[in-house]
Formats: sequence, C-alpha cells, structure tokens
Amino acid sequence: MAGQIGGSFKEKLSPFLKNKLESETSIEIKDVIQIQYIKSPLEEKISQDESDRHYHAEILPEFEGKALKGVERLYHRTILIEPTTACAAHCRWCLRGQYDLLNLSEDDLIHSARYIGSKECHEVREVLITGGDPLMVPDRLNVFIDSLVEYAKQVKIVRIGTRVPLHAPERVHRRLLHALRKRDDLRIELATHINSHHELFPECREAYYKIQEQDIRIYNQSVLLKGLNDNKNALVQIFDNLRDMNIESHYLFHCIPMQGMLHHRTSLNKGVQLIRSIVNSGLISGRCKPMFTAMTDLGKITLYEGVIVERKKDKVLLQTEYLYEERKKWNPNWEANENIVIGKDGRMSVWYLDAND
Amino acid sequence: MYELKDNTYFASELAKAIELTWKNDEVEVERVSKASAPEPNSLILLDEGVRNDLSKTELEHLMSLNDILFLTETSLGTHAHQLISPTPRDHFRKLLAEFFVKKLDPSISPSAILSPDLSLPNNISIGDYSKIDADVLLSEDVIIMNQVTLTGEVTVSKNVIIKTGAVIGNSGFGIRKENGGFMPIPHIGKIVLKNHVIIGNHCCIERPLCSTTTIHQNVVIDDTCHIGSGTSIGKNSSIAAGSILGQDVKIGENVMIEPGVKIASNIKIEKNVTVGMGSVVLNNLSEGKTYAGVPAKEI
Repeated sequence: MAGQIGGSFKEKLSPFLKNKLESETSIEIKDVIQIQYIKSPLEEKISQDESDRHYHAEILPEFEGKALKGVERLYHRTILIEPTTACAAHCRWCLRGQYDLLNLSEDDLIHSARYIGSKECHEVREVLITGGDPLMVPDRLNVFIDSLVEYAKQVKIVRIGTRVPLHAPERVHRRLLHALRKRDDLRIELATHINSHHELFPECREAYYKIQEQDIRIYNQSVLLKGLNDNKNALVQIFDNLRDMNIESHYLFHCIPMQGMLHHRTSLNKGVQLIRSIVNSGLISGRCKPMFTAMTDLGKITLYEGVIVERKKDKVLLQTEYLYEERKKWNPNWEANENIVIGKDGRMSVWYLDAND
Repeated sequence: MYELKDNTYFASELAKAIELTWKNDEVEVERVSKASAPEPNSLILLDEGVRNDLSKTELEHLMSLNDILFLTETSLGTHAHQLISPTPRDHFRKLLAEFFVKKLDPSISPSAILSPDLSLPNNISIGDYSKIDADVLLSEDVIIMNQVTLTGEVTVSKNVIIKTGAVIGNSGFGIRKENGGFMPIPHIGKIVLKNHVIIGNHCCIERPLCSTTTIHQNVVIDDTCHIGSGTSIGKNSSIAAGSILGQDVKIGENVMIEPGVKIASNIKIEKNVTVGMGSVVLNNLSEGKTYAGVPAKEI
C-alpha cells in the first residue's frame, strides 16, 4: 500500500523479508515472499479495463479554508484517512500503488481530526486509518488518535490497517505500542493482511501477540492470489492459524483489477467455489469464516447469492444496496463513473472486471 | 528531556521544512546517523568538516549507498541522494529537532523532595529524587533531571538545564583550623545561573562564603566539573568534563576550557582564551590566546 516513486510502483522488500528470502531454504516460504513482493515482468501487461485506482472517494478539498489531505469517504458510518503512503514492503497488487506519495504532517492530521469532529461527519462512528501503512509513522498516528479523542468525540472505533507485523516485526516496539494504547471511550482495532501461513514467522507471531497484549482486537483480510493461496489447503491453513492466534477472520478479497495485476487474479467463480468448499464443509471453525468480497468502484461488495446479476464477456454486474442519493449526501464530491449503474429505485450496481483461471 | 520520534519521512518533506526543493526520486528517511557509521534510510550530515574526517574509502562507500540522504553544502558529484543547503549544519540541527526527536512534556516526579515553601513556575521538569530547598528561585522552562540537589540561595533562570546528580549550593571549602581540628565556616553567599546555562551530570557548584558565584548566559559546564565558591564564568564559555576550578576564579566570555583542566584559586582568565586538555593553570591568562601544559603556557 504505497505510492509511486519516480513514476512507478517500485519493488521494495523490508530488511526482514530480504533476510528471510536469502536465508530460508523452504521453497514455499521463498514463493510466498517472491509472489507477493518481487516485481514481475507480467506487470507490464496492462489491459484497458484495468484501473490505476480502485475508487475515487476524496472528500472536500478543504475545511475551514485549509486543504484537507488524505481523507476519503465511501460509507455512511466510516471515514478513511491515509497518514502516509509509505510501507515497509510493497505488495505488488496494492490498491494504492499508483497514488502520489503523501505524508501528512501533525498539523494536517489534527486538521483532519477536527474535520471528522465537525457537523459534516456527525454520523461517522468509525475511522479507518490506512495508507500506506500507518505503523510506519507511529508518532504521527499517536497525535492523530489523540486528536480524534479531543475533537471527534462521536467516533467510537478506530481501525488501523497494517502489514508491519509481517513486513518488519522489529518495528513493533515500545513507542509503536504507545501509539496503540487504550484511550477512554475509543476502541482500537487492527486490520491485518495475512495471505499465507508460511509468512507467519515466529517474529511476526510475537509482534501480533505484543499488540494483542495492548487489549487490541486484530482482524484479518486476506487476498485471494493466484499460485499463492488459491487452493483449499492454503486457505484452511490461513484460517486455522488465525483461529490459533486469536485473530478474527474478516474478508477474503478477490484480487482487485489493478493495472498489470492479471497474473495475480483468479476468476470470481473460483473464489466462490473455494469459499463454499471451506465454509460449508466443516473444514474450518465456524468462528473464522471469512466473507468473500470484491472491492469495486462502488466500494466493497460481499458475494452473497444473487449479487452477480449479469455477465458480459469478462465483466460481471454486481448488485448492491448502496443508494446513490445517500452516497452524494455524505460525500458530495463523489461521482458515479461509467462502470456504475443507478437503478430506478436508486440502488447502484457496478460492472467489475473478472479474470480467468 | 527528549525521546526519539518514530516516523518515516520523504526527502521532499524534509527539504520543504528547510525551504529547499527536492526534484529527484523520493528517499525514505527514518533516522539520523553518522557518516562514520551509516545506517539504512537515514539522514547524514556530510559537510566539508565531516568529509575531511573521512578516508577516501569511507567516502566512496558512503557514495555507493542508495538509501541515505546526505545534507551537504555542495554537490557531491555522484548519484548519491543529496540535499544541498547553504548552511547544512544549522539545517541538520533544525531537522533533528523537528522530525527526529520530541521534547518530553514538563513534569515533576512524585519522588522529588520539594520544600513546601518552594514556588514552582510553569513548564518546569523535576526528575526522580531531586531535592530542592525553599530559598531556591526557579524560573519557567527549566529542566532539572534526577537526583539533583539545589540548596541555599540559588537562582535558576529561564531555560537552564541541570543534569543528573549535580549538587548546587552546598558549602565550599571554607574551613579553619582550630584546636588541632577543622571547623566549618558557615557559607551564606549566592549562586546565580543565568538563562540557557547547562550544568552537566554530577557537577558541584559551591556556595560562596558571602559573595556570589555567577554562571552567565549560555555557559555549558560538562559532566563531573567542580566550580569553586565565588567564581564567575562569562557568557558563551564552556568548561569540558572533569575540570576543576578553585575559589574566586574569574573567567571571561567565549573561553574554552578543554577536558580535565585544573585552575588555581583567584586566577583570572580573559575573554576568548582556550586552555588545552589536562592543563594546570597557575597564572592569569591573557585575552585571545591559547594555553596548554603543566603549568599552562601560551602555545
């Protein structure tokens, strides 16, 4: 989850992952690192239907006369902020890989917290802090969370999206844990992104445990990646390990049609078949069943029965219950693009690019 | 006093803070490090003075590192990432203060032993087990670290820092022999620490008999120094570690006393003098000159 450097989304491994790649002899472990982080020549193969961004949901350009940076809003109850685009390693399928680089200053973050506490956001209950990886800027994260406590008292839950425990577990130390400390009337949850049990090195497990000791709930969002976890056994291993580590299972994402990412993507159908085979079979605990979900131009759509309503060549039309008028109400800047269809009842559906197996 | 900040910055962000522009590929910077011990993703001061202290091999090695941002006064003529500043040393200090450390909020340790009659100004920090008596006059923005003793009439002006274990205001060496033994004489003088003075760890500043010991503005006294009673140290002077000053020593402005210097009582050192390491000063020293040796002589 990091932006462009010099006009491209560069390959980046953390020293920790580099060391593992060099020192580990297991082919499975090497594959897990190589598939996720090493740039492939196949990334040059770009189809016109692929996107450089997953959606556009930037909020008002300014608040109280000052620029509002890194704030996005797609949903009614939740607002999103990216304090940084920096990450310890670059996941190749990153949905923000093509963003411009951005680092918000402490002043920018305090300004955003004041905006979230303003009447424009009175219905917001949750703040998702993503990026980039917010744990790359723990001191600024600390300032932002403290500012939410001070200025946005209606916010009850803060979620922080991170892969730092996997990329650079040594960064999970006292100062970072201080940023995640418990505040009155505010719950902090951590969203992580584990795609294979092979990447759960002992150091990484230890980092997750240290965070859990702060009374932080951790939940996981995996991405279905071709050749990495697109089989029943790999998925069962992920969810069994999550259960063992007391990490909640949240989404299993279909890999987004970002530019040059076709080689990482399975078909939607394969994802549906796989999710059926693990959740309706007793293969994993009922307490860790994920929701199979696609990230579309409209936002996240979980693939329940009846969601796929039409297919045209390599695209599927996904029906949602999101209402156009509501969306415009809480983000007047938001525009429906050419993939979005607004029904007579105001419900929106969206064309989504499928892939082949 | 300070705690390290833990953030990842972009070179463009640092450049902007010192009013420079960055047009090259971004560099991620997480810490500062020294040219002689470079660390990945760090900012390194590499001005002429630093370069002169490096061997050719060390410099070549530095130039081969692609995850370092160098702060320099001139183009290094390589592909190394470099931020060229007219005042690299000042800018390095500014970036260090703004991005890489944070000043801890002022606080008074619950274990500090403070006289009930002591008046406490705003923004003062007092560390663990420090003892401060009633006649001490404290000012705003003062930092007193752990286990410091301030006793008698001591005036601590704004922005003074007194480091761990310093003892300021105990009686000096004023004793008299009586009936074959030593009898202490009461010391009732004053000590004045003016603005921005720094007193090092485990220094002693004696209380004078009935005069005043004055440490003027911006004086830095390094660790384990002894400052005899009635002494005066002129502004912007520095006394390096382990130096001993007798009674009533008078030191002018901008004087540099190097480590381990001994200065006899009643000596006068005029302004802009430098005294070399380990010297023993037995005579007055004249303005603007450099002295060294035992006894100290002009060099």
